[in-house]
Amino acid sequence: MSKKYILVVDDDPDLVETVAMMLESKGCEVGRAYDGVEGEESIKQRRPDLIILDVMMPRKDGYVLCAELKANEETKDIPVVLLTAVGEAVPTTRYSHADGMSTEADDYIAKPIDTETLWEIVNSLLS
Amino acid sequence: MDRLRRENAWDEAEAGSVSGRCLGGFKILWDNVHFSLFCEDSQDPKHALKLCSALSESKLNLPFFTFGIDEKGQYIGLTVESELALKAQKILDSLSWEKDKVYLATSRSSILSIFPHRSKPEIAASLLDAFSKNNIQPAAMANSSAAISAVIDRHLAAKATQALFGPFCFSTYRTPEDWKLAQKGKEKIYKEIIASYQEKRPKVYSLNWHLNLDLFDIRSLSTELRNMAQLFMNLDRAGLKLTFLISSAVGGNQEQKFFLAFPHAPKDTFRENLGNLTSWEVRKDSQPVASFSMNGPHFGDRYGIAALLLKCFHEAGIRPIAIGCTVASIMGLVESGQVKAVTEAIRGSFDVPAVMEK
Repeated sequence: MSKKYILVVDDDPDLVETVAMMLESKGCEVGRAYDGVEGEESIKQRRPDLIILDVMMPRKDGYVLCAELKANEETKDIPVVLLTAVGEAVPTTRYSHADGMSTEADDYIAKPIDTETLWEIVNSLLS
Repeated sequence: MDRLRRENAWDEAEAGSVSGRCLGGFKILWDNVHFSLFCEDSQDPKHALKLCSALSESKLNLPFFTFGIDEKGQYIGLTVESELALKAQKILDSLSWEKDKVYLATSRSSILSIFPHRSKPEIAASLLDAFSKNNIQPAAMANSSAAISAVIDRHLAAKATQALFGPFCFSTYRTPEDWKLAQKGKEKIYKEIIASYQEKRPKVYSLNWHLNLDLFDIRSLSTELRNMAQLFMNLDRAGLKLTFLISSAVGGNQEQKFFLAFPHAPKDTFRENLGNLTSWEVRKDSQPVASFSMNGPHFGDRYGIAALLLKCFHEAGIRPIAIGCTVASIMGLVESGQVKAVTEAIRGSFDVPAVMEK
């Protein structure tokens, strides 16, 4: 069986590395992107089996990218896990839990999540 | 002759493909004040603990922090936002430093972070070379699991961002103007989000260990950046992975103290690559060391993270060799024999769901 290819998109480079280290230890191949536009370009170049997507990012945020992917026939079936850094909802922004839950993402998780739980979610969506 | 050969080697590397230095991006925190402290003849980390605890009690975020101890004393570097600098200065002034000789330097600074470094010394080499060519002397440096950060003079920060676009390429912004557009409007929302994290026990994604490392500490003149860049380039060619890096100014900004750790090499590759840089004071720790890193949301921005780590070490009787906190990680170096005790101490204060070893 070929390795699953997972794209991690987050503007926190340390989180990208931590998640990538965990996924690689589970036998996955990992792509890395550091904002929404780079993530979008990366998806065009190689279709991932799953995307782990941060919400707040420069240029194109996770909500917008997720909506675009789910509206596109070619990418709508790629599972998307949204990760948000909003510890508590920040009322002055649109990045609230309610907004996150209303997206079409396959799962929506508040940071920080432990990597083993994240793997369980990823693994269940892959299978 | 040796020097000439090495300089040529650098030029060849520079003329080669830049693809090895294609990075994901860089970030800058513009308006900060950096404090460099050298406490001569002091090996007690309680000074750093007192300082970090006082900063934490005043809820001063620390976007950058370094700490290191050698037989000559301890080296502390910390950065706060400009508007909080007076408050930080008062805290520094109020602490009793006992009989130690303390040298303090203060500068208006910006924190520039490039990522990912992939543990390749070549990335640090290219960054230092770019600084050297533009007469930029970092007051301090630190790596995180993915990024290398440098504290630079505020007035040279714009020049520094421009200087990155020669030795490095960035996949999504090809010019400094692209990058500026990408950063617009981010700072305010980030501050709100950082303020939203108020957990009593900070949660990390995991505690990651790198075991069996060689530790080198180097004291060099701040003006010798190009030589340091050359050393990193030589080490990259020798296949060494840069696992831990902090540097701090000593006595103003005339000298830099580096703490570097690499996976243990059976032969002394590091010294072999020092070449003619023998005027430097280089010391290799005879015992292997281990480095840990913890990544949590905005760890490099929030108050209390460094204080909590130092407190749990103090309570467990652990003396760290060096600590660095930047971007979203806090990292440290300890003696190899202390890995278990350190893991337990950290687990007592931080919410650590997983421990990984490399």
